[in-house]
Amino acid sequence: MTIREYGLYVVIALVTILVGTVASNLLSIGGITPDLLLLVVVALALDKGQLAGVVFGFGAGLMFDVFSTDVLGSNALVKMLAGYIAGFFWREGATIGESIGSLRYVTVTLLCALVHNAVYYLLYTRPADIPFVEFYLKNGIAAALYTTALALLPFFYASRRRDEAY
Amino acid sequence: MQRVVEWLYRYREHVVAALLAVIALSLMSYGNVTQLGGFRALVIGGLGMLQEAFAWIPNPVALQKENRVLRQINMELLQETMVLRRAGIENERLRRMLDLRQHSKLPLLAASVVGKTVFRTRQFITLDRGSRDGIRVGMNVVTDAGLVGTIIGTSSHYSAVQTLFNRDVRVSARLLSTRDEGIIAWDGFEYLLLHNIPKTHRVTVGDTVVTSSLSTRYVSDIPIGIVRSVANDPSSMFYRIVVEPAVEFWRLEEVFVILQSPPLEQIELERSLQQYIERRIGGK
Repeated sequence: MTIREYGLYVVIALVTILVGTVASNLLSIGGITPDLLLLVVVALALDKGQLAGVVFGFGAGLMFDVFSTDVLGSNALVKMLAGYIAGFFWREGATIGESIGSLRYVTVTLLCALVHNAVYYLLYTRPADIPFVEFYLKNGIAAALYTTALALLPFFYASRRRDEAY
Repeated sequence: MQRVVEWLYRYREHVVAALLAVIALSLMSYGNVTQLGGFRALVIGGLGMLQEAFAWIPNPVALQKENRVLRQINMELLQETMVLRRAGIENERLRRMLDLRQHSKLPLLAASVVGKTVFRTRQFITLDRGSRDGIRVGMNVVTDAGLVGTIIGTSSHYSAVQTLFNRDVRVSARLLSTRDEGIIAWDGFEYLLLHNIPKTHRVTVGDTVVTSSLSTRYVSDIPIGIVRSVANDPSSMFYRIVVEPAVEFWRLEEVFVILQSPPLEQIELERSLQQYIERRIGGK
């Protein structure tokens, strides 16, 4: 992965964070918001591999921590973890269109979102008297499903582009 | 040595992941992003401008809910108007009779909510007033219904408010009727919990919970909510008291900032005392 490609992904991450922050209230359904940045991290890990996914996930998560006023390092950890998990499903030689335009992208997003939210909420509820299991079942799974539903948009777009190319 | 390097290279993905995890955990133990100072103000200012620019776009789900609640409130207000008129006359008469002093007025600054940010159930709101208008970190934000939260960051034109629906928020509170003191914290869902009220005390459903005068961070006697239920937890010596917040956070449009900074000297003294005690305990 070249520096230029990293730069491009950093810009995409920055735009995603800004859109996610500004539009979070619009996207919110019953207090549940999708994780747009996770979609980018998973896409990059599937496209460029595990190492790129891990490094990018950490960097993007750290940026998100600064913008969202969250505890510094918390999103860096879980986004890095998501990139790490998604990296196991990387296929060498596959193009970005093939990676995102297959159902693998949607399935991996769901898996990563479930693990990502589980770890995040575990860290989140630990210092408070909030029951983790109940909290995760209500918020974590719903947010993971919402994020996965949004993953269908790039999936449909990429698969359509791929079909047109054939 | 070469074998170690080869091993590290072979498993570089896992090694880098482990290394970054350690860095992330170290950062988490380091503390909060509010320590980033000037950069934080820049972020709040930038986000505030963007949120204000897009504030006109409605959320259909929220609007539908808001309409339903407004209709219900409208009906309730009609009924309450009559009761209040009668109570107002009676109140005026009683005040004169008891020669009560008028409550001292807190310095309030009206502000509009230009942005609501929801990050995985952590709620923040952005106000269209900032440090230029005298707003400082730590000031309380209220509505006519009660406590909204505190200012956690400012830029010159905008400020960010942390609402009560946040894991990090603890409010020293008391029950209005019995004056029992407790701690308010978010229950993780739609209500608040009032902790540390012993089972030997009497708690009534419907009682009002207000901020305590013992708190250094909150102005006293601001309504927080109403006791919704009182449960007897057999494994604890305290009640499990669920409090319904006085403020409907998803419906906030206009708020007031109490232009009164927390007593920094007292906070600093108490923090030093706490650190001293922690050091003593750690030393033993």
